[in-house]
Amino acid sequence: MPRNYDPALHPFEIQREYTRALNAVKLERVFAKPFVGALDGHGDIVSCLGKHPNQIAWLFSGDADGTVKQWNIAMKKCVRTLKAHSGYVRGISFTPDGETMISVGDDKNIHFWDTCLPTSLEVGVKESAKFSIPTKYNLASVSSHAKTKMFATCGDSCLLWEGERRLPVQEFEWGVDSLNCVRFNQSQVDVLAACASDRSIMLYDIRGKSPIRKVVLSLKSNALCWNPQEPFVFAVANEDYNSYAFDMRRLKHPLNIYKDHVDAVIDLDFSPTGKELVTGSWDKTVRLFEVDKGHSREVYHTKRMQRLTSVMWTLDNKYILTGSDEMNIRIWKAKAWEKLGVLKTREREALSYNEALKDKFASFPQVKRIMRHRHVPKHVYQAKKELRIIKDSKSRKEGNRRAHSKPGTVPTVPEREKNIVAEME
Amino acid sequence: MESLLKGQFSDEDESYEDDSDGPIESAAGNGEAGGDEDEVGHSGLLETLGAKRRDLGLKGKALKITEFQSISNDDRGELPTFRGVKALRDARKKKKKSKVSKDEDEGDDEDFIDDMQDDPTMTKPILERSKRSALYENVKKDVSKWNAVVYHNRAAEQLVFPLRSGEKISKRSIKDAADEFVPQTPLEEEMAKILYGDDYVQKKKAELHSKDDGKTEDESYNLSVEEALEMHKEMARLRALQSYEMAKAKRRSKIKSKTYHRLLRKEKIKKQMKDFEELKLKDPGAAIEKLQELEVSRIRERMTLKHRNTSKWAKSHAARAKYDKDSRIALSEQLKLSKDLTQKQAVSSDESEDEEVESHQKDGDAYQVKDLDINPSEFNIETLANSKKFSSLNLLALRSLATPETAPEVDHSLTSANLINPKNFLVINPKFHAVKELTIDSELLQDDSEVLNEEEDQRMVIAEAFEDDDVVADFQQRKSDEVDASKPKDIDLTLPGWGDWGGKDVVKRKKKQKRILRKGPPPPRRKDARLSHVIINETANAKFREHQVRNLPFPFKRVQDFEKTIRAPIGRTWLPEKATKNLTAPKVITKLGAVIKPLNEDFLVKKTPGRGDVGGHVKLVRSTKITK
Repeated sequence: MPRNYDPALHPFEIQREYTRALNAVKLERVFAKPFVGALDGHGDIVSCLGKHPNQIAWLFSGDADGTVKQWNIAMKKCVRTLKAHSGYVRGISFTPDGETMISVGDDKNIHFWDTCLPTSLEVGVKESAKFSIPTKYNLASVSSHAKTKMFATCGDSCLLWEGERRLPVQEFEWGVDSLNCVRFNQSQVDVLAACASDRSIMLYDIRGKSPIRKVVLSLKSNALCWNPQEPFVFAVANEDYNSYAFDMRRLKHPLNIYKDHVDAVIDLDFSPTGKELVTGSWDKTVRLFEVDKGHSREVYHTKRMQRLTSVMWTLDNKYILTGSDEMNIRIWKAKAWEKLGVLKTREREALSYNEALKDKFASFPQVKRIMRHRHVPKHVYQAKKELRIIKDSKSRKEGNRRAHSKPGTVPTVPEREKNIVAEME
Repeated sequence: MESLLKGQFSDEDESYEDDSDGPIESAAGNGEAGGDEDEVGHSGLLETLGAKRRDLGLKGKALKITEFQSISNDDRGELPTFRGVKALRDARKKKKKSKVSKDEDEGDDEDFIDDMQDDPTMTKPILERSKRSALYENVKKDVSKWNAVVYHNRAAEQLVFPLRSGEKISKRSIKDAADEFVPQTPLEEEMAKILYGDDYVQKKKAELHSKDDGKTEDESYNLSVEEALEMHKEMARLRALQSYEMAKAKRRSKIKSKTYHRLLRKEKIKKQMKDFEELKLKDPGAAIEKLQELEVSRIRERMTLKHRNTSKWAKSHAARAKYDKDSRIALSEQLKLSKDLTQKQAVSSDESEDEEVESHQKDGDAYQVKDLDINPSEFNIETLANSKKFSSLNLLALRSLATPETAPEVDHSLTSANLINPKNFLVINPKFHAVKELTIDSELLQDDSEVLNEEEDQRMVIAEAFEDDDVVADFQQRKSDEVDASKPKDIDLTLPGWGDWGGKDVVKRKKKQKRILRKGPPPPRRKDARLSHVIINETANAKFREHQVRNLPFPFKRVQDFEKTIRAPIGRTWLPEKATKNLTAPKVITKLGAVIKPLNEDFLVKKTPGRGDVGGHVKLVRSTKITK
């Protein structure tokens, strides 16, 4: 359409764009329908999820009674059920080629499974693992090396295994600790990190065959995840309701704190673009954060979703998968208002214009208000209020103490560093 | 697995070596040592390993086997052993300060661990701690190689996932090009024969032929099924386009409507005229050529008499013209065309331009004024004096200006109104130019007088600049304006014509106007009526306030910058399509169903010696935005 772009003919362009931005942000809320579906079938608490490195549609999940299920997410169907362990399945990982799935459980076994479906299996015959390693260690988590057959497990200590060798090739020890989560860095491949129950986060170097650094937080970290696009950045889910992002080179000063949960954060995962973060919490909500912001951009909850045990961001950056206490796995959209499927050019352009408008007018109070408005469950709402009161009172107390002390005796600690106890060499 | 590991570590410049752990590790390190000797010793070593394993298994301790046994460093003895961590650190710091080359420094880092372990005075915890910190420093350094990629991606305006790692950049030197050159034309062959001899030419030719053959073969086989399909599609598309165009042209040519053709013709002529005008501005030479072409066509027209009333068509129309309006119009148009075509074009030659200039000079003042404006350096006082316009100038003063000796005596009152006709603002220019020129050019001036002069000037300039700066009066003025603006206005309801005389220069009747004028209500009392130093904005609206931004958003430092971003529209109502697309392009684009892999080493380029300290360099720089 031919237009006259002379600004003198468009005296109200700012106002019109502002109105459009308001409409865009309202439409965003109208179309925000994040819940895609649930994968129902586990007979116990879903304890862990595993994402296949090459296949987006394949999901593996383990539960508390030792079953591992393979799902086809696209069809929302369980395609395989494996009776893998007796007791909890604690971790699922994959070899870099994606052909083998490694599962560890409370029965101290490491099992290797083919990720491809067996061509023919007689009805009623229990499928058995390709290979198993019975160990004498407690196994709480497993993570694979990005390039080789090595994988690490943790429990009483961090162990490094290689392929199908029956004994660990390396044991990392540093004090007495029991570790609950271990993760290999997928880019800087020889570095791995683990969370310990003594409130510390540890870094290991497998080439140097030694732990290299430890940072102690005020409370225990539950899970850890490396940023896939920023190899020196990792984030931990902490018991103190927050998540922390660290640069592994400056452990004393966290890069960011992600606040908003009102109970312990159980699990977290970076988006494959490394720009966002998903956390699952004991407060029965899932929250999405942008890595450079301190508060969540989105909160997901349903009436029936109970405490979260694991969260996962799919490798195409479109969906989020959550496993929870009440035996279900849920599929969510990563952008709640996103239209799925193929878009026509005009539609796509209109949507990206809307996005740009939202971005442009984000600081305007009305736009901000609508964009941030969320309904949360009552218990979360109440807990937030309570936490706010606690926080205010604490800061008031600190202020009073500072006001009535000798100047300089009560130092001002930045919020990000408040919960860092020590960095240990 | 073995091979993978090997590859991985053989590539490394720096190896983390730690081979003082005992025989078990060295036995297990079969993967690294390589060579025939190891093949021989391998079985023996394995046996030892097995025995140890069993022992350890019984004890219930995890076996510590290293897979990363690197080649032992024999010349380790050269480095001194250190007595403590602190001493060692100090030494390292010193080394860094003394600008030892980086490679040496790294080597030092690795040996440091071994030195520690060799030192018998070290207790185990201290030893471990120092080992850990050394390793940590190493890993820190190593992981910083991602800096460049990560920071580039963070700052990127748009990221398209899955990220592409850059293709290899081929570096083609002049020498390569020279080597590849094959003489082909007779002249080239001759030259090559002279330079390199006959054999060389023959050889090159043979190479070329063989290459050609190879190429044709390659090309015939290179096309994959997809490519072939693609090509086929492309061809089909082109053919379809061509046929559409042909059909369009055919349809157009069949249109019988005279009006249509007339309009078409008119449009064409208009377009030609416009093109010619443009051409005249852009390329006068080409325009003249075009004119000449027109001249030729005119001559041809005169010869052929094509558009006169002698043709068969014209005659038939002439017969009908009496009764048929259309044919009359057509005929007259034809004649007009003929007239246009045969009319001689008035071409402005160079001579006429010269004449114009001369006449200007004769006019005198006009031309000189122009001259003064354009080139003040050529300003001539005599001519200025001759001109009538500047007669009001104090010529003497001007004369004194022009001569360098008397320059310090320039009277600044020259600018005052009594000397210069204030309406003739142009005359001020030459004066200043003259002053400027003199101060720059004349080296005869005495220094102190010059300084004095400049100071005086400066003072004058400042005084002039702030001459009418009365802040208080300004404020009062602003306030009174504000008050006036906020007062309710009288409404004039007089209509022209009612009970009035008509025609030109009719005076409005004051009495009537007064009678019909609706007086506005008395203004409400202003809040700042008694506050002489304050203006209170009474039109501020609380309803607007809830739409207004209170605090400056984060990345902005100045309100003006933020306002600027808001003021610039991004929609396509106000911007061309492409600009909108660029402005609204998403920051992150992901492809539906495509796996986004973690960052890997393909995104790094090996550090070349002599470059900057940052390990990784970004390989790929996207130049174009994808507008999605």
